[in-house]
Amino acid sequence: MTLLFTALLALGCGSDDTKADHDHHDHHDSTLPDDFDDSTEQSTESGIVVSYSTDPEALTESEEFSVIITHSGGVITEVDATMPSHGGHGMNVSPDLDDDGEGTVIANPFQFHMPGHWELFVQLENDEGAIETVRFDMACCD
Amino acid sequence: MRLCALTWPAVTRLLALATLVGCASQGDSTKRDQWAFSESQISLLMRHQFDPIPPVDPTNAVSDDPAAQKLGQYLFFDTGLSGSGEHSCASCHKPEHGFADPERFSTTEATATRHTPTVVNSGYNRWFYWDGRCDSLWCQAASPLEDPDEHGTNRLAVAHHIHSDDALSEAYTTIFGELPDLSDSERFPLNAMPTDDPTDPLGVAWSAMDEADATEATEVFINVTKAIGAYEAQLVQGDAPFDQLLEAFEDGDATGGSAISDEAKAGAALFVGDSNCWACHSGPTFTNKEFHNVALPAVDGIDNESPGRHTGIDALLSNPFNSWGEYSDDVSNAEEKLGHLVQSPEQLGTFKTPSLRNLMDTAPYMHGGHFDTLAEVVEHYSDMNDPPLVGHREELLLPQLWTEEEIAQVVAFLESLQGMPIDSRLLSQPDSPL
Repeated sequence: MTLLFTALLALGCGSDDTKADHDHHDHHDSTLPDDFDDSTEQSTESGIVVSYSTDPEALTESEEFSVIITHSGGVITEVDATMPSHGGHGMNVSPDLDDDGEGTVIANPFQFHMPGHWELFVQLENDEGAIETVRFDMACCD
Repeated sequence: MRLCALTWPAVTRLLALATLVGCASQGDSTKRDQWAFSESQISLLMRHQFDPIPPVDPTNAVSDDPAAQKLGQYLFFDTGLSGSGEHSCASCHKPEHGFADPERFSTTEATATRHTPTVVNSGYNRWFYWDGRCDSLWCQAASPLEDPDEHGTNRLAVAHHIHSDDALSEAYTTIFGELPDLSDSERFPLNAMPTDDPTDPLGVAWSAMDEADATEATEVFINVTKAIGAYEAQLVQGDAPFDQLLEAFEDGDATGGSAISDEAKAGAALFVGDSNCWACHSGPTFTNKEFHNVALPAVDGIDNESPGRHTGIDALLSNPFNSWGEYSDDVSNAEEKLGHLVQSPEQLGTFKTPSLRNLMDTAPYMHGGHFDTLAEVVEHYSDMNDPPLVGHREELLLPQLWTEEEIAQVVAFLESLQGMPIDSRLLSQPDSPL
């Protein structure tokens, strides 16, 4: 039992250590995971380059924004976001996709209604007809 | 073998106890040395910086008009806006009780089935009612007037009330332009409104009206609610001791200064810690403005299995007074706000996250007035041991198993969100609507 208690004690205070590590992480935001990747460009397995930006650039919690996707090939079929710590639940809105047919898709509206770590998923059908998905880490909010 | 015999809740409790025991000296040391918040704690707390000027509602063209605000204040307290002549908005939204009601359920023409929320800081809201069936203050103000269980009046009676009173009609025309001539009772009956029951005399009278006349009467009715909304948006209450804590952070003082007690600071640390309180109670008014299922216990007087937001969306989208409707003064953002709402079983049993500012004024708490004290509220979130009566519990809510001392700390923190009193000139009916 003593061993158990010691182990639990170590675990219990371990959370503080984790927090300390968090505090030393670049983003200084305890709502984000340590491996948060703020890159805005990814490649699919078949090599299609997908990047995103937002309009407005600075996000405000619970306010709508647009996600602008550029892609080097394929056809974007779905753009959505979920919150891992929230049981994987997603947004309270379902965006429309506006595809200019020249490699840019605007997904609107997006709305992050809770602060913290969100994941942006961009699904596309590549030129061979296969479905591929890229994932981006996003943070709510400024 | 004994370890295997432990249930997970037991392990969780033991872990929590171990954490408390093991880290107590750390906490004591911190206390002796004066509180110092970590960078991540300060970052989370700073998200609650309050702007004392609420956003302008573009769907209400008079929301910033001082004359409309004055008229709205007069009407908020006007018992002439009730069928019996006995009730006003202030009958339930009592200024002396933070514009909420000390009773679990307000009683006017009948007893309500949900607790009356405050209208203080409501100008910051995105949705209105506990289930979000409205998306503006003026939309919110409309349905209680025609609800036979609340004000028990109707839109023609409201229009005639304005028309028949010299001061009200002058104030109205100054703001909104000429009133329609309601003197022809054949065209404008004294009492009429749309009803679901085709045999209801009010509905019969309404159906007999010319469509253009009905629209004119509705415009007067909605202009009344827009004036009330303009007044309500002025009811801003910030400048709490907590805000001084944030000012200290801005000045580089990680202790947060002396505006709130060490007990409240400890509560603040718990609030932005693993409890995840901050996730839903986020932003300047401590609400993310959305809807969550917090697994409340059953209480008398409400529908404990209400779908909440799930059906609130239906009511919102079918509401003729939503921001997308013909009475909205600006529909340019309405499609984006209302046209993409997701409706799913995930919303069953979810209700709007209330603001945590100024809670000392507005007991009891929750949509059913479930709890009389802040300590009871915090105990609920700490225990979190009851299954939800409908839907599923918000995943971020996990039992905290806080000690009595920690519960007191969180309560002290919540009390530190009590703002300075609202300007007393806004708390009663002015002598004139002009």
